[in-house]
Amino acid sequence: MWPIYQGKTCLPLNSPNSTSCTLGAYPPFVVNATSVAHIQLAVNFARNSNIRLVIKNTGHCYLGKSNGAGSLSIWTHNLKDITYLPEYKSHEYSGKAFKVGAGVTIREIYEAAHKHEVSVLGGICEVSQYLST
Amino acid sequence: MPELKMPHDFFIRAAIFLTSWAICVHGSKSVAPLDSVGSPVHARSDVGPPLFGYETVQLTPEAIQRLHYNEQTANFAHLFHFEDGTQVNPDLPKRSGECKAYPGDKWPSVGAWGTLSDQLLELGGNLIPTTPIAAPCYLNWGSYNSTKCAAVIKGFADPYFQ
Repeated sequence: MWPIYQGKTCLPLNSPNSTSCTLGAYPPFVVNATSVAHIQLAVNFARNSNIRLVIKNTGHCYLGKSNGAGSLSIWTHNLKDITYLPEYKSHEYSGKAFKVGAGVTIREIYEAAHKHEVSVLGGICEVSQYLST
Repeated sequence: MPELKMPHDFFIRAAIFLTSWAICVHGSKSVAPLDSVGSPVHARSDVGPPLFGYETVQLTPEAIQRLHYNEQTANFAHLFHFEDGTQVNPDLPKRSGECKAYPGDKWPSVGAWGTLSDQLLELGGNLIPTTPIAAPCYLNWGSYNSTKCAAVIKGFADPYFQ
């Protein structure tokens, strides 16, 4: 989906003189987020500069929301932590649960579930993110 | 390796490197934007699952305030404030319902982006300027390379291609 949302600019064609390569809907800058502090800096900077903010893990958003012309992007791909919680309790649920970082892919949570002999429900595309960003 | 035969030049380079390094270290100490212990988020971990390591590294309004006291960051410190209901930059339109700033418009200055990049680096992160993956296929981007372009064309439909 993404070449369309990106504006189909700078496609891989071997015709260097025919057209020019522009960013299109690619964010000009991306924060490689590996802690909450990085995300805080990015959110504050985007809000106070009045620029768009987009969030991307693997970029499998069919609505193109992981792209954004003139935006600052927060890339959550490297937030890979997974914690298995055998006795999680909340108001609505008690039982087995996972706490999952925003960069975890479906394949990675499937592997964690397999290791703990439990099931999780994910999509068919194993390279896409488990959480909807 | 002709440069290794010129110790004088080597020592000058080493001195420049060490001086730069010392300035960087000094800079990070004077900003010290980190406040990872005793921040409010630890209270929440009592009712939820334990925090991941990267969740314990959090900024506070007080830590951001320190950017005002550093000569290099003071001009851009307001861009890192937490939301508190006040408009920190009178040059910008009111946020709600109005258009966002775009490149060529009221886009953040080079200095503003540089400060964001510096602060991220000090906290172990980084700011990546985007280069389209097929940039080596075009003359206008300044990095034309027919071999790299061919590799991009070949791998473009592969989901694991990077």
